[in-house]
Amino acid sequence: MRKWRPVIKATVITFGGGLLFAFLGGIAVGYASSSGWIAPEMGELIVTAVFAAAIMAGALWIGAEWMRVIDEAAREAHKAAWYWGGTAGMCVSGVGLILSSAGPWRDIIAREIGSGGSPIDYVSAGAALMIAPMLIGYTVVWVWWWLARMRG
Amino acid sequence: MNNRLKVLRAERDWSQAQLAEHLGVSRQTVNALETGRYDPSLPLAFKIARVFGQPIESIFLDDKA
Repeated sequence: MRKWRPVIKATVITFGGGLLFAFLGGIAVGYASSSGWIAPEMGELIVTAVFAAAIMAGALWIGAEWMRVIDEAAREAHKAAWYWGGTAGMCVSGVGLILSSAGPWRDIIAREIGSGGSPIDYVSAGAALMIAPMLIGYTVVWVWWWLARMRG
Repeated sequence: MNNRLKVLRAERDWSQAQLAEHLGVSRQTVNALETGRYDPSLPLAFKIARVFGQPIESIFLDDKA
């Protein structure tokens, strides 16, 4: 349990600090905007941007500490899962990208899912559709790697 | 890659968990090493050699040689 201490510490600081920052940042922005020091939209922009960047940086930190704690076979499992699963997932997303970018499939896809969304919806959907197949591929390859080598 | 880990461990009457503790890896990793389903990194191979007091080439055997 002691060896997991750096991981727990990083997790508590990341998510505890993130929540605390969001809470205090919200209060500060509310106070600053009601006092006329800053436009409310600008305050929200700054707080949410810092929050998002800090949470993701913290997630990287947690991952780094976690990779240091696990043994080399477990690390290999994640490396293989990231490369093969992530790459395969990216290829699935790549098919979607090619088909939705040009050619006859573009019209068919547009007809099926509609084409009336706003550009920001497309940004969010595009990011999610790129990440999801990679995560699914990662999970599938990790489970395969683990069961193939570490059972018993 | 073949290896003599299981024999060497049995000679010392160690469990997989005990060997894992000596090597600083999980028991599952020791099991994977013994069954040849996982080949260790060079640093881990050297550590195994140190733990058993034998040269690497007497523990790990090149099955393609």
